[in-house]
Formats: sequence, C-alpha cells, structure tokens
Amino acid sequence: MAELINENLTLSEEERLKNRKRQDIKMQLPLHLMMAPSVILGLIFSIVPLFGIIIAFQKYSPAAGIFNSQFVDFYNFKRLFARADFSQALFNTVYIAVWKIVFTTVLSIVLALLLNEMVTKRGQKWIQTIVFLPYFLSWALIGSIFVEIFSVDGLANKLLLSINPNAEKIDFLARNEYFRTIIVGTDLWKNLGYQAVVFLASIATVDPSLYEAAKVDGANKWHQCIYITIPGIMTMIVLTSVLNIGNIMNAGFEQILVMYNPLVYETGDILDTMSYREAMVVGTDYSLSTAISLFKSIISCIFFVISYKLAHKINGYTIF
Amino acid sequence: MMKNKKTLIAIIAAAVAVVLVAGYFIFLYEPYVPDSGYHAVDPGELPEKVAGFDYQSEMLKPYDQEITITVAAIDYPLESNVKQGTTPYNQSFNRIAKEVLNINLEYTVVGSTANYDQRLNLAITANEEPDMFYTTDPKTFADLRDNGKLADLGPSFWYLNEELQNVYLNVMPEILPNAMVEGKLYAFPMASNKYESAQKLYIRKDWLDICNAQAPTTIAELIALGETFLANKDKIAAATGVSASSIIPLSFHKELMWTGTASASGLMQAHGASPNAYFLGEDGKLYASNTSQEMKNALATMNTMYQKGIIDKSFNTKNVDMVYDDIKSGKTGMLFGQWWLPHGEINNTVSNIPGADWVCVDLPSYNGQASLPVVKRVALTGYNCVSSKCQYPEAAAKLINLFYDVYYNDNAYEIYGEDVKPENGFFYNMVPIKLWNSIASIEEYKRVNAVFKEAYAAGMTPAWKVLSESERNALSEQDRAKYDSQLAIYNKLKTREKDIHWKDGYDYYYAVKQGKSLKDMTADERLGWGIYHCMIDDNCGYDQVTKLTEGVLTAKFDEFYGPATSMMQEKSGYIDTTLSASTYAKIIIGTAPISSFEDYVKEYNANGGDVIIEQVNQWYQQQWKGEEE
Repeated sequence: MAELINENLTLSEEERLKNRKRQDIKMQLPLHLMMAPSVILGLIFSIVPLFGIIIAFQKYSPAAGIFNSQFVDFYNFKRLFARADFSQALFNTVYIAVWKIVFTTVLSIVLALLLNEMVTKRGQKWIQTIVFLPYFLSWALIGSIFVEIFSVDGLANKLLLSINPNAEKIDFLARNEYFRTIIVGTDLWKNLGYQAVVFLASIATVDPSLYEAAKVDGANKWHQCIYITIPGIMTMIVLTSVLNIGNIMNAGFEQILVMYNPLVYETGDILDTMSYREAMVVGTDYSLSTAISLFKSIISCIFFVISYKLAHKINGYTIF
Repeated sequence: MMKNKKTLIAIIAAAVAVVLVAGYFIFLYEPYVPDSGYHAVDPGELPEKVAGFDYQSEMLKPYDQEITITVAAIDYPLESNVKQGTTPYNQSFNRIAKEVLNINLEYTVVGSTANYDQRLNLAITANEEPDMFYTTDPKTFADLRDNGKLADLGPSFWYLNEELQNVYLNVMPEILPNAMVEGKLYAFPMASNKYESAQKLYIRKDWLDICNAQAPTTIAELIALGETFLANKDKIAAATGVSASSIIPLSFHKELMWTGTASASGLMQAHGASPNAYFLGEDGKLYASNTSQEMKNALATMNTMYQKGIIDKSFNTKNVDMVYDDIKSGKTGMLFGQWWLPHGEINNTVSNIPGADWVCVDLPSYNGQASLPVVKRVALTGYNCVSSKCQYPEAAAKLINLFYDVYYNDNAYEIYGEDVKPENGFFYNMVPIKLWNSIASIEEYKRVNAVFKEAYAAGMTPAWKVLSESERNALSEQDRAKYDSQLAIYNKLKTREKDIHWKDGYDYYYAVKQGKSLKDMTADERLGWGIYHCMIDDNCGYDQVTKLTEGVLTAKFDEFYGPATSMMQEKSGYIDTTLSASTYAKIIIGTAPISSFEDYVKEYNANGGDVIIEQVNQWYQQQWKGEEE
C-alpha cells in the first residue's frame, strides 16, 4: 500500500486519477460479480419480456410470432373498452382492493394493539402464531377449501341450518350479493396475522420510558394506547397506508381465480382474471389479454409513483 | 447558462417528437379496420399421383435408416382394459412404429385433455411445434395454415391406404376441402360419423321401478318424473343405500357451452337449441342458436327444474368429473349423454350398487314438437397436421396406415404380435396421429348383434369355448357337427370383437335372455352390462346411431362447419363462452329473470354476434352455391 502511495506521489494528477479508478474497479469487481447473477436474471425475466408488450398492439397469432403479426395500433384497446365486462372488471378490481386494504390495515392495527396488551407473553406468542399461520398457505389450497365451505352442502349452510332448521340453503359463491364479502373476508383471515406482526414490531420500538412517565401522570391503559402507542406507530401506519395505494389494482388474482365462477363475474371478475381467461380459458386472444394487463400496469405504475412520492413527502421514506 | 441550454435542448427534442408523431398520424397512419367480410377459399384439386411410383408397396414400407419424428399426444385417462401405467411415452404403439416403419417417435408435447391445447399453443408460440400433431381447434389450424407453418400433404395423400382414400374421395367428399387451399392439403382432417354425437336421456331404471313411474316422453313428464324422484327419495334411499338428502334427479355440469356427455346440452336439444350451433331458419338463412327463442325456452324450463330441486343445486360448481362421481356413488337419477355412456361412467353405478340399472330413451319432446338430437352437418372433429419443418411429411400417412392396420386388421395379432392388445399397453386414444374408419362401427354393431342372436339360438352358453383339435376329436359325431356349426357362428366375429364383445358381453347377454334379473347376476355376468347396452342390444346406444345414419331416424343439423370466420376468431371467446355461459347460469339459477335474455341478445349482437351471423350466412351461401354447380 505504501509503495502504491509513494508511486502515486510521483505521478501527475491525471495519471493518479486513472490509477485510482483502476484500483476502484479492482476492489469492486468481486462485489459486481456477486451482483451479476441477480442483474442477469432481472434482465432475462423482467426487462426482456417487456418487449412482449408489443403484442397488445398487434393482431397476434402464435404461428406468425411477435415479429410477423399484423399491427393494429389501438384496436385491441378499442374493443376492450367497448366491452361491458371490462368496466365491470375494472370497478371490481378497485372496489375489492380498496376494501381489502382498508379492512386489513384497520383490523391489523387493532389486533396488534390487543396482542400488545396481553398479560401473558406465552399467550401472546400462541395467538400470534395462530393468526399468522394462514399467511403461509397458498390460495390454490385454501381457496378450494373455502369453495367447499360455502357450497350448497358445505359447512356454512350446515351452520345456518343448525341455527334455523327451516332456512333455505344458500349457494354463497353463486350469489353476487355475498361474493365480494367472502373474498374480502377470507383474504382478511389469511393476511391479518402478517400485517399485525408488522405493527407489533413497530410497537416494540416505542420507548418504554414514555409509558412509565405516563403511569406516573396517572394515565390508564386506554390513555397509554391512545396517547403513546398509536402516535408512536403513526409513522408506520401512514407509511403502510401510503404504500398500499400502489396495490390498488391488485385485488388478488389467485384467490379469485380459485373461488369465482361465471355466475359472479358481475361482482367478482377482476382485470387479472379477465386477462387470464381471455388468453388461457375461453380462447387464445393473447392480444386482448396483453392489452388488459398493460392497461392495468400503466394505472398501477401511476399509483406507485404517487404512493412513493407521498411516502417520501410525509415520512422521508425512499426506496430508489 | 447551463440550465438554459438544457431547457433549450428539451424544448427542441419535444418539438421534434411532436412533429414526428403528428406527421405519422397525418401522413402515414391508416386506422386498422377489422375484417368483417367472409373470404371464400378455393380448395383446388389434389395433385396427381406420381406416374410409375408404386404407392401400394410404400404404404407400410420401413425407412432404410431410423428417422426420428417429434409428436404431440393427449394423455387420456386409461380405459379399464388398458394396462395400468400406460402413458404416451411408454405405449406399445411406439415399439410397433419402430419395428414396422423404423420411425422413432419422440414426444415433445404431452398434455391432459384439459391442457393439451394450451401446451400445443405454447410450443407453437415458441416456434417449437412438433413435427406431427393433432388439433381440434379450427382457429389453431387456420392460423398455422395462413402463416406457412404447415407442410403440404397433397403428395403424401396417395400414401394413405385405399380404404382411407376412398372415405376421403367418395364416402365423405365434403371433408377434405376444409383442409385445402388452392390444391395444397394442409392436414389429414379427422372425420367421424356425425350421428355418434347424438344425445339420449339416461334414467336409473331401478328408481323408475321403485317409484312405479314411466320414462318420460315430453318435457312436462320429465319435470313430473323429477318431482316423483324427489317425493320418493326416502324409498329410493332405503332401496339403494344412498342418503335421501343427496339424491339428484337430474345432473349436468357447469360448462353450459359444452355439447358432450353429462352437459346441459341434451336438455337444450330437447327444446331445439344447442350451444354455439347455427340452424337453418324458415327464411333459408342460418341463425345463432345461442340467442334463439328455443334457447330461451330451454332456459325457462331449466329454471323451473332448478327451482323445484330437480336439477343439481350445485351444478355451477361441478365439473364433469364431479358429475361422474355423483353417478358412480348412485346419487344421480337422470342425465343426458351419448351412445357410449353405458360403457363409460354409468357402468360404475351398475358395478358399485347392487340392483342399479339404467334405461336410455329418446329426448323428451317440448310443446308437442318432435325433439331431435342435434348433430353437426359435417363432423370434422380435428386436423392431423405436419409442421413445414418436418423432413418426412409422408411419414404421417405411413403412421396413419400403421394405426389403421393395427386397429382394423383382423390378423393384427399375428402380424404385429401381442403388443397390439390393450392389456399390453396399446391405447388407441394415445396414438399421436391417426384416422378412424367412421363407418366401421356400424358394421361392427350389426355383425355383433346378429352373431349373438344366432349364437343364442344355436344353444351356445357362456361356457362355450374354442376347442383344441384333440378335444374336438374326442366329441361324438353329433356333438362335433354341433360344435362345428357353433364355431362357424363364432368365427363370424372379428378378432377384436371376440376379445371384447364376446368375452365381456356374452355372459350378460345369455343371462338376460334367460330372464335373470340384474340383482341376481354374478359379478362376471354384470361385467358385460356396459358393452351390451352400447353395442349389442337391439335398443342399445349404437342402435340409435345406426338408425340415424341409415335415415330411419332424423336429427337436427348444426349447419356451420367451416373454419372460424375472422370475427369468430376475435369475438366468439367472449360472446359465445363468457357472456353466454354466465347469462345462462344466472337465468337457470334464477339470480337473473328470464326477461334478461333480451338484454343478453342485445349485448351479444353489439359485441360482434351480428357480424358473425352475417359471415356464417355468407359462408353458407358459398357452400350452397357449390352444391348447385
């Protein structure tokens, strides 16, 4: 090292800079190499496929491929916007997503506060684990379990009948008036635990001396909760809510795909399921499917930018 | 200064961009107008045979050097007589192809019935389609054809065996032009007997007996029978062991736009409607059945039946396999289906539940009109395609010949060995590329029906068997003469019929003739129930197909069989599947009133339905003109 510095002293300013650069590269090369796999994978699986967006502006034929399919400018979007089920799906997407976000956020805060107040830590850990567990299950599995539970001969109807033996059986998943409630409810059941743990972790960072001081001033548990805990985690609450704005177009593809059926397209069909159906189930209209996804992505992108700008403004939170 | 420069550059860049974009839209832009016309295709003529070339000797001639052909196959569920564990990869046809033709089959696309199309499309998209593949989707075929992805099979046509050539050229000349453009043949289209898709109503005979009821002949009687089943569910439960609350008078599955077995289409056909069919109206024009008055009537009936609890309350969550499970466990009283149903799923009821029996009757009539089964005017069920990348297109014809010979040749065992038996892993459904003899089954039915009658009259019992020479010689002269005459009757059957119909079916046939009831039969005797009701009995499933084919019975024809029109390619996914299925389901269940059908018709036509019917009529006129010339 010393020789290097000595050597540098004898060199001109320009050469020294050059040397420095070379040294930097030498030192950072292993780091760059370590990063390379993820950059390459990102390129292959995230950047290159972006090229496929072009399909949305083509009358795409699998046989002709991307390069030889006919370009039809915005025709796919025109016919998309002309369809009655598109506006319905768009509305459903936003509607379901918003309710999911609102309920999950509010109830997980409540759950976190309640867990925090539990006297026995053992009990807290147990409950925390139990509500957290569903988070790890896939929709493919629990979705079909819920379909069974809410079917005509399912658990939900048995329960109804046990309360009122004369009640008529209800096919919950075939009825538009129940479908969204079931979707939001089951999603809540699955994700509540996870969100609550996030808030619980945030509560743990609140300075314990604040509580002691409050006790001295005569604050009861309720006061402590209102005046110390909630303000203490307010940053986290705001941050979560703001970042969730970016999810406003994500109403839960896997969940709805497993649980919906043609009878509830009206209330349950979202942009993702519509896109999937167009390309994979009822036909092979890849162009329309891509157009739907592109539309969704553009709106999502706008919301993401807004949410990050807001997060930065309110909390100084930055990712990029 | 620096900042100003940057701003200036930005402004110039923006101005250039605006000018370019505006220039494009003003001078170069041509808005895309979808094609709403119908373009007739000239099929042209097949190329002549090469003079002096001996096609006859080439039909099953092996290649000098082993060639590898990549193929696609559907991994069908195995039938009961096929060796367990048989897959496309290990089926015995691969060994036969290797030995006889020196062709090594390599499977690059294999899918279940549910995802085969998707996988094939994926392979096509990735430009990795197999050398040879089968598709039932006319859109896929048209797409590949128009993009030069398919080999011209015209020259290979003459490699097909003569029976197949005869079917294409003389028996069903309307099939081949569908795969031809200007003298080029882009596939060996698969034709089947169109009447095989005719539907019947299957009813649990033991339930009818328990309720002391008759099979229905009208829709009103059908509804009444459903109510009778419900009213007697405790009696049925007590007699058959199924729980009373799980009884389903009439089953069908949620895929309302399907036309196959156990679907709702049988009930629709009884009203004169059929999903995605085009019927000839009184004005001489085709109309879409989906939006017709007949369909509306069918939905109204189905709604009534649903409200009364006759139609499965959870049909909208059940796929076809779940319906089959209900049938197997004895919950289902009635369903609509095709001729082969007794050999398929309802056979399970008979073998699982003591005393269970089925009867099949014609479609019940609606409002005094005769209810005819709906069949396609031309049953073009799929396309055997060869990729333009394939070096040996004629290998397709050779493989088809090989399958045909293995399946129909009476001496196949001697020629190809034990490998051609199902119990050794030969499963016709998994053979990647093949053609059927669409009229052979009628001959088969007639032959078996006649031979069984003769055999019974000649006093042959199920214990009768072919004797060895020494055993025969040991018989008294009188017995020997009798045996010889019986053997002559038995030998009228083809090898495959001896192996299947006789082996499985004669026990049952004999027991029935002896007046034995199903309940008293042994398991061995009951085994023949399925084949008996499909292919042997006077009133079996295939009897209807035969009578329809010979014109004794009539059917209603779905007139459109052309390739998908341009607007169909674009719109039918939505209007014919998503929109129709969800509307029908809502009307049946009652979450939408029957009057919403009118809104559906409007939405249907607004989304391209009106253009499609125009195109279909243009196509029809083209066909009709061709007929007249």
